[in-house]
Amino acid sequence: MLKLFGKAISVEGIQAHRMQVSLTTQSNLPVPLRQGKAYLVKDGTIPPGFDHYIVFETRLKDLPEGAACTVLDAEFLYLDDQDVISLGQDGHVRSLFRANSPHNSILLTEQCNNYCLMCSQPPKRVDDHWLLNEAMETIRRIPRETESLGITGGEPTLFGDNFIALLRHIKNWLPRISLHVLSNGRRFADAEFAEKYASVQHPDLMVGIPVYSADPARHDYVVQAHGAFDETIRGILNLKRLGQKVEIRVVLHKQTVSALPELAEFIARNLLFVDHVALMGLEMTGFTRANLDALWIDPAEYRQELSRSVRILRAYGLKTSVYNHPLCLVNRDVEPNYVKSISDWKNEFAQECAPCTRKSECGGFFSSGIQHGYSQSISPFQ
Amino acid sequence: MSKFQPITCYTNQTSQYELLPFRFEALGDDDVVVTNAVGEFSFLPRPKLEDLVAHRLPPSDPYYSRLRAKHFLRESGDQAALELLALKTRTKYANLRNFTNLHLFVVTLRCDHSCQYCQVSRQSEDKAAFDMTRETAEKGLDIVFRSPNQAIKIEFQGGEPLLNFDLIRYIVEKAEKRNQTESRNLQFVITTTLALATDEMLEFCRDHGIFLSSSLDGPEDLHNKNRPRPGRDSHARFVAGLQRARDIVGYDGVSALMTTSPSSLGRVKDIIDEYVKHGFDGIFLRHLSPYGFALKTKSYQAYNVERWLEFYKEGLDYILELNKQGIRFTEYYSSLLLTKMLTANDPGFVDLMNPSGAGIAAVVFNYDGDVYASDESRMLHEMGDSTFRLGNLAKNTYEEIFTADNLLTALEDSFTSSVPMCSDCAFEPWCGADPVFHHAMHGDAVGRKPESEFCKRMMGASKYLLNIMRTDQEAEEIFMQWVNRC
Amino acid sequence: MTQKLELDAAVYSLEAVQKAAYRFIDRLTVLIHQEPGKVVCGIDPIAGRVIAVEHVIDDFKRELLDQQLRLKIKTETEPARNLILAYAFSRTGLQG
Repeated sequence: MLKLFGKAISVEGIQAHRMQVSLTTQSNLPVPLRQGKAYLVKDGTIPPGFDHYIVFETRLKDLPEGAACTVLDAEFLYLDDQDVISLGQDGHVRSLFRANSPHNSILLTEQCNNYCLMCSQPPKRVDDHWLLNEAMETIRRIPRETESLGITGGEPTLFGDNFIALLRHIKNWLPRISLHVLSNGRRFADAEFAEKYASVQHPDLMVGIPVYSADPARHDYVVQAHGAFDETIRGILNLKRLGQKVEIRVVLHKQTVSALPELAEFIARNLLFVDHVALMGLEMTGFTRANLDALWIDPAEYRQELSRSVRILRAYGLKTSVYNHPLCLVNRDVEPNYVKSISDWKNEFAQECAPCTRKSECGGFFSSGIQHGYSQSISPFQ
Repeated sequence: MSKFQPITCYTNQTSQYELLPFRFEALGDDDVVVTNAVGEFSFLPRPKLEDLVAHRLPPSDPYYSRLRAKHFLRESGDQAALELLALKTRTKYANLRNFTNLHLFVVTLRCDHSCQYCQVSRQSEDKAAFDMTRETAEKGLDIVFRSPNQAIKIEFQGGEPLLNFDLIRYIVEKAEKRNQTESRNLQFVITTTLALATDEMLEFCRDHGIFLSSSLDGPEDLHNKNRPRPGRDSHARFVAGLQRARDIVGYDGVSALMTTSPSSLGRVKDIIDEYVKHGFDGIFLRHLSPYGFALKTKSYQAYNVERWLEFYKEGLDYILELNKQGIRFTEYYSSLLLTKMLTANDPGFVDLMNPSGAGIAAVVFNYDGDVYASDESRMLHEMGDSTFRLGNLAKNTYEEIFTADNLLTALEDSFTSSVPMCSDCAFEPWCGADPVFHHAMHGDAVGRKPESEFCKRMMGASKYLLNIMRTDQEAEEIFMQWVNRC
Repeated sequence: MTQKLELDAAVYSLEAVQKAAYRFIDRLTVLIHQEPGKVVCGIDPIAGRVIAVEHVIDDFKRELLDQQLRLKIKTETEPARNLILAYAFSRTGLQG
């Protein structure tokens, strides 16, 4: 697992409370482009003209006069050309964007109006507008040729018009990027808000919205919010009325798997017009660990329900993907919809996987799973 | 850390709920099936139904959540349920706007076959008496292009339409020429036994994208028995014609329909095998229609609906067996019903459309210029009953034809929502009115439902399908594939 | 021989009785008339169609209950039905 945030060994030359820097490893970068960039010292060469230098483990002696320097520990050695990080006066370092990763997403807020049993990013009731402002700045620094970007939370739509403004900002700065927003969809039940969202007219924008059960009571229980199901479904309908792309996301755990085929039928009958359905394995992080008894089920135990659900969705022509499952824990008939999906920075394999011959096709595990518990039923393909 | 609430906090605290519109029908003594207007269904033990209607079904009951998820009941905040029901209602009726897209041209009544159950054909060399003229065809085309529908399908019927291929050629070319300015989505179909198809005709079909709808009644002996022609070679000619049609027009350019004669009844597996053998991916286990010669010659009375249902069930079981072995093969009658049971779409099949598809989805131009509300209507006319004759191309205008009193009355009378028994039948959402059928059998467009063969057939088949879905998940998934195969 | 079935009008509405009778039109001839507080059915099997008369009449009684249930559902759900139809044909966009 990559270390995406932590503390620097030392920081200097940081004027504001925190600031963003774009990194480069290009020692021959034309001088006009050096301003406002931090040079990532990996091979010992120290070209002049940069405002800031990032070094590892120990401070270099022969830095250019007046240049600032931040010393990071070796766990941040993955940082590379065109990445964006945030540095705080207090030494806090956060990786905001990694240019060579296909899994970049921006955490827009930690506030949420759901309180999901298995939330991987437990919500906080604090005003975190600064995250939104930081995102606006990050967008300006992201390479223009970047292919995809995610917006996550918390619940990004809680920022209302400011969230819409961010989308416009992204469209203006990164018009060719494929944008994916994670939202609980409730805000879109407000037709006026849905219209504002649609009016951004982003050419490649999809919103991923969780639906956990065809039974409203069960969905509301999983997200710990009364009336959430109704708002979410009406939100999806409003978005589709406006021709927006919608993905339905279902996290699979003890509370959702037994009625998964009924949910698949519900989607097929009522929401046939959605663009994608993602069935996702449970991540052993955040609230999940607090609610483990209520949530944990070995994927080996719900293989049949998963297969039947995938077959139903497939029969109705719904584009369906199964994410976050070790390949050996799904039935063969699921394989056409199996996606090797876990974000690179939190993907690992278990010890038992060593002899497996299909590792290259497998999504493996969340690092959190390796750490906190995973299926005892995995069996390497030989 | 904040407290998480148990699921009981999210279930209905007051136990109050509102029923959403639904109907029910008994399945045996102990169970009922409940259905709603958009085709959704659920099985319930009878006491649960009584609890449901008496508002005493507890929220903790598994049937409660199922019925709520399927929109048979709602709690006070459930706004989405109404929106989804409305959306599906609109989808279901969307093809009402598709006014008249199928136009049948009966280009000749002459035929080389003399099938005993055939409704209208003539063995005759007299072209003048039984062929459609170019003048009549032109007038028919005028009506075709008056259709407000963007998609227009022209189907050539007979007799054996290939006996008047010159007229087909004429109509196709004229229609294409007019379409240069009309820009409709124009499709052509010829209904033919293929016995007389020459390479030249097939090449014309290829060049003009004409689809061939052919006939195959089963194995050679059965097919030839059903379809006598000089030389007793109907089956051999079909097989050769099919091969050439696939070579020239293309594999997907030709399909086959079968007719269930009394001799077919014991041989459903043979018939299906014959379809599989010739590489078809489905079969329509059709019942014999009560019109024309079929009724006159008593072929129709040769088997009743119970016997047909036996034939159908045996066939469907066998087809499911084939599917479970990995052979993708559809039974189309089931598929029509299942589409309404399992999706919000209406397949737009004239016989199962509500309001009736007659005169809305289809219009027939007979060889002599008479216009009918459906193919069955013209067969009824051949039997001396002209109720559904809407007019004549030589004498009547478009407006006169489509506002003919007998059309409007039949449509109105047959609208199932207002028909006795249909209006509270749980199977009505999957059914459709068939005014022509009921007129033929009972003398009025509604029919007396308890005595209706149509009704018995549809109810029998539906109950059988429900039972399969209830007991066999694999079969249910196969059905889901059928209804979504485009 | 005509069988007489007297039904409590407080439990069975005339409409439910008529509908049940219609459903049995192929098996039974049912003549219905009203008396104070009662709906009365005169039932005859159709000649040649009914073998076990008692059995058919039991079915008919069950049908009476079902029809009454159907009426109850219909009456209760009428406003929802109208609301759905109003929604369906007034709003625009999004259909299959």
